[in-house]
Amino acid sequence: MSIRRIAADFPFLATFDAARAGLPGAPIDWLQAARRDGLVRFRDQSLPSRRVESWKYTDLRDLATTDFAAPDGPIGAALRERVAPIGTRNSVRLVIANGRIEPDLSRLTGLPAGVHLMPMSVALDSHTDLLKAHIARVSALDGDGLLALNAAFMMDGYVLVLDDGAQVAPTIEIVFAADGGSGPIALHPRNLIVMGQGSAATVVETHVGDGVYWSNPVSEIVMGQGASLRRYKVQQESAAAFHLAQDRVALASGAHYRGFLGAFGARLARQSVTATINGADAAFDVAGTYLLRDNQHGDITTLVDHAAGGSSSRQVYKGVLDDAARGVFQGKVAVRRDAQKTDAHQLNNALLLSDKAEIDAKPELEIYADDVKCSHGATTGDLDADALFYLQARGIDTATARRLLVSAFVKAALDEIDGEAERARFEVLVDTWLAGTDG
Amino acid sequence: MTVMLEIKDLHAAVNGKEVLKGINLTINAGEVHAVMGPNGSGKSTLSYVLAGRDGYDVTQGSVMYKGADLIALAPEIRAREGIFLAFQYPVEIPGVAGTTFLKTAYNAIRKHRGEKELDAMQFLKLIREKQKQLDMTDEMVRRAVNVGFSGGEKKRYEMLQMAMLEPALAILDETDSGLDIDALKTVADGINALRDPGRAMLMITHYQRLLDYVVPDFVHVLAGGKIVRSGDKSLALDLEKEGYAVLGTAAA
Repeated sequence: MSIRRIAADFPFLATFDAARAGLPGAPIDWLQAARRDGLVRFRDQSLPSRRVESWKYTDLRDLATTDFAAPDGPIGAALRERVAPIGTRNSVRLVIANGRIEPDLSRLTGLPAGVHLMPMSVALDSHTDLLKAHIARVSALDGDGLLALNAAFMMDGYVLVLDDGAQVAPTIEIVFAADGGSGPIALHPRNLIVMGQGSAATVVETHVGDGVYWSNPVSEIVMGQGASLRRYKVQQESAAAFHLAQDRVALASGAHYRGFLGAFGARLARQSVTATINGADAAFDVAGTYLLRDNQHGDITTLVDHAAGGSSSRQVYKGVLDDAARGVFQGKVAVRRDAQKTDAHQLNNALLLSDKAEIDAKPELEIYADDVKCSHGATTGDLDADALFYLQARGIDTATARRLLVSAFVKAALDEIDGEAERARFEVLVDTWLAGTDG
Repeated sequence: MTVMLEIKDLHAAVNGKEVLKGINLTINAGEVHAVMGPNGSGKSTLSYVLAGRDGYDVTQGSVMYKGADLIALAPEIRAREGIFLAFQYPVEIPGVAGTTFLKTAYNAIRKHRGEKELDAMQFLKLIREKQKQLDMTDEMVRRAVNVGFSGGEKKRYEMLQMAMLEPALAILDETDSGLDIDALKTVADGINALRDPGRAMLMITHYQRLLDYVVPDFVHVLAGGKIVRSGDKSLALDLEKEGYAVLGTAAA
């Protein structure tokens, strides 16, 4: 038994055969094969232990010993009420509740020609070949146990397909709601975005929930030449939830990915992002903020692989850790031998508001080309005592002064957001979090 | 005459080291006092002790402000009670807009006085009037606090804050340092405009240059943590001629 895997029983594995009949794509042979393959691999891999280098700072043992069941039934009324107002009144919206599309809360009409948005369960019928190509490939990737488990228990997520040249201006709202109020449940959403040449879209993903649950979403994003995607994610999982998300992004030449993560929730969260830049003039820009308190644990792990030259990447993360919260930032930039003229920038700044808060930051550069511009930086600090006193000396109380300074620190990350409405939305979320700070 | 500030036998330590060694000073409403002294005499320590900075500990003596113990108050309460420290080195605060900062401060003080807080429009109208006198633009007032300001602009911004917050006791810590002559005149005009029978000022300075433009009622010389000489404005001129070296024996 390898020490690189967590030894646990995972009682839910025994329900595999019963569960998959109710999961999307039950009659599809290749999908069933992919599910079985995922199960075999998970039994082999289990969840990674802290002996695995990339999991050194994030411990999944509490997750492994929680007895999760498959979701059973819709979300509760209180959670529905929280989900209902997310997004603007007329926005196109897809709500996935407890692993299934919630048609009453979704609005899938009004998209321009060439833009197709649907839940995975529908896409398996309408876009069979496309899904087969991507799902089989992602599931077979050399990933960790989390990916294998998602392959085995894959549930509804969203599928967004844009034909060549298709552009959608209004924001597409995706909401994931999980209700573990009547016992811990595990959710394994699978998302897919496939963008044709020159297509463009903006997606906001919101993750909310109640009670104890485990959300294990896998998102695959394939961007054609010159495609442009803005993808913003609000992670507001319940304080008892586990959120382990992985994104895999592939960019063709000229493609531009702009991502932002606002991580506020969950007891334990990890956002892992792997981007492969396959063409010149492509740009991968991600930014985010993680605001954690109490005993929350938040992990951001990125790998940007510059496989083609003349491309750029930019990562800017700002974390605020209060009480006994712990943050992890592992950012790796790889530049392959032929990827000359790569321009890569990476930055993580963490603010520790308490003596018990902790940040583990591990920026890494792995560069095999010789004509590149790469920078990385990580800082950790307390609030500036001079600034705090300056504000107090003007009559501003300590709690307000701290809020102003923390807000200023976080807003430097929000400035990375390209889009006034989206930036304003995250500002509200940040202010709400700050209002819960006791100074 | 109303006593604004009464300092008696004030001893204070910074990081455990005694810097102020028995200061006695009384300032009445309407008066402008200048405290002069060489580097390391304790001038800035005195201003921080009065403003309530952490790490500046009173070890002996008392400070009464408007008849009540000042030392027991948190810095923000002192500010709301009317004490204003114009910083020698105003702090840059990236990400905090100047208008947000000053409006928050202004309304905190109004609220403390039981007055109605101003809304954004009323506040902007007020600040526009004041900024004009100090030759500051909308952009300067809006940008992040002190960020990108020259030394002179920072001092003018301190004066703008003082004009807005209308303190009862203004402590001006080396407000003249780093200013060219034009900036010095602008800042001095700002200070003079606020001279008022109900307001007291304590100007802390190394050089008497500022005192040509803001003429004090009293001048004190601080050396070795004590006030070693007091007089009227002519004392500043004597010091200018003789230099602080002549205080050598008195300061020891």
